[in-house]
Amino acid sequence: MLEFRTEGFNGYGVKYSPFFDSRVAVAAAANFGLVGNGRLYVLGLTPNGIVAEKWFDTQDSLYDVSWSESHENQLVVASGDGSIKLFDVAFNDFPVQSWQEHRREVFSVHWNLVAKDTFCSSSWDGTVKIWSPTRPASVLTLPTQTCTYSSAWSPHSPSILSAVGSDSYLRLFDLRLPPSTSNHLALNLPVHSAPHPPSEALTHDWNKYRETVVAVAGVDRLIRTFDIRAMRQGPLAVLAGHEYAVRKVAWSPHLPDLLLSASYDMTCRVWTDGSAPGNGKVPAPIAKELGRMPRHTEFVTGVDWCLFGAEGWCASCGWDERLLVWDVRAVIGR
Amino acid sequence: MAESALCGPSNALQGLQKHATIDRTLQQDRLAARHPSSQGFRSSAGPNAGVLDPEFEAFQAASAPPLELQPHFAQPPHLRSTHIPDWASDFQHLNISQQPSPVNRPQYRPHASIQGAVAGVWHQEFLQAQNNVQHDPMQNPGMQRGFGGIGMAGFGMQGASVYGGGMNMELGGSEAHAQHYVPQQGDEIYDDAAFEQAFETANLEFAQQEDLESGRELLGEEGPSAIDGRNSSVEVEAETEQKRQGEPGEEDSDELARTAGRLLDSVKDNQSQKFQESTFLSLMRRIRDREVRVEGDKMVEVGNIPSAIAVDHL
Repeated sequence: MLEFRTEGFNGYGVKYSPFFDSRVAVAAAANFGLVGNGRLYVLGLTPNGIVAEKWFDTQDSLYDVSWSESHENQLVVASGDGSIKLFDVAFNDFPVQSWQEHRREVFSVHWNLVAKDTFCSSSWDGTVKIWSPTRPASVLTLPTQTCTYSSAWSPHSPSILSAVGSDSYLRLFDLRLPPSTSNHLALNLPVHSAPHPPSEALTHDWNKYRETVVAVAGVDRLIRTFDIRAMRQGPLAVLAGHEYAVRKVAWSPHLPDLLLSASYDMTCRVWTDGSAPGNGKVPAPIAKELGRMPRHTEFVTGVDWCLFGAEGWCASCGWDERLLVWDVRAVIGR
Repeated sequence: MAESALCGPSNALQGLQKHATIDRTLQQDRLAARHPSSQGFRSSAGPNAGVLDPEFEAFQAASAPPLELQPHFAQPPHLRSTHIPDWASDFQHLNISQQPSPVNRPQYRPHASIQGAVAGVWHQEFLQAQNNVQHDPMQNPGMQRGFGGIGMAGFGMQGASVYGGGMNMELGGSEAHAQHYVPQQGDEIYDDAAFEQAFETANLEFAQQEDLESGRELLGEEGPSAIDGRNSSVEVEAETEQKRQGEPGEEDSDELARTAGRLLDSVKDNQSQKFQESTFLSLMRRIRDREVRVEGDKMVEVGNIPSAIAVDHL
């Protein structure tokens, strides 16, 4: 397990570069994001441990980060002052672009994996916005009218994105729909179902292999997976185990049934949603927790998989001012 | 807009309320077509709105079928057959956009065609429209952002709590937890009695602040319960503290202290070593106990004398 100390800053989001297997970005905030500055770390994984290749200080807390899918040196951050900033690792100190449109804290940014000249953001101001790095203003604003913690593009479509927020609904926007009064809203369905009451949905992620499968998690401590074609029929799997709210979920880029989560219970956990097929002697597995990583000593807020190399490497960050890089396989079955 | 519930915490009834309102808001968007909203220029009454009306009326009178502008930027062909001269020239005269030639703007993506057409003013209109909305939940002037910082994601202690009064501290709400907070729902209905009570509370607070200024000790005085009528011990304690502190501009700090109290309440059963030793939770304890508070964008330590502050090395 490798470790980097984001001294004086509490981690909020972590992302591996889609271009380099040794580069990780961490979005962090001073004073637990309560007040004060933010810092974006660009870290290099070297034989001598993790080193800070670059960092950028910002006026306000940073809550999320996303690497550009089209430019290997650029990354975008979500800030507590409602701004979104695009940094270029080749430049010092200042962002190459900054957008100030959201009226409250921006809580997520996510780059489109298919239409790589687009990214989205979501904010507590009750909107999801779509941006192009080359444009001075947002391209589109999609109202959610709820505190929207998480937004994400489908990895399989250039025009489908989703958002979850405090009203416990999963919203699916399809930009191919005509811009009518529905504002591209294609689906708006509750994440919760009886007997569970609604609870804030904090995070969600699209499965990288099964293009209609989404995992959603939040305050009710459950991770649910859904087939968006049949959400009304309830979740495909319900993964229970976290003791407090789940702050982040991420599907494996290598295995279609593997899920990683970070929680306010100060652990990261690895799950299978039970979708892997059985093979002859071995019956199909059931949805369950496969292992947990308890090393963080404060709330764990971010987790991401490494796209390269042996399947299983991931990074997690938390309010203990630490980035941990570890191998999921080492905790499975413990 | 869901002003009371936006960014608020989750509890069973609030969610239910959202259930009930969700479809209605969509409907209202449609019915109140001129209501300022963030979406598209069809519904946004921007600075040019007044100028447009007579022109539009004249235009309508000239060519009977009212036309939808949006699709035609990109694909006018089926219009072309009948209306080209009027349509085109009329359109040129419209003050929809400050851009001289909106049609020629480079288009970003197919879905962006409307945006491309009105990009010049769209953003400004959006901002202005937002400013005009009275119940805009995003404005939230009362709270500083810093609060939100903590509150995000699962704690349900964001600024919006000032609206609903339903600010519960769920780290991971069990159902029992949610049930526990059900009574809050009543707080959302601002009946006369509640206003009455709120008024009295405010009056009392004011009086007490004056008392404080004249140096009287208020220790032991039982603070009136908050508007929302919840009586958790933390809250009462916080209320009392509030009276004691009683400085102007303290509300945010009070709110934060209460919030911290509730958060600690929600994890008080957790005896694990990590939670006992957590730096964040110990900071929350100090905020709850008024040893630390937020000043501007710093955390400062509060000394014995309320006015004496020292920089805290957190």
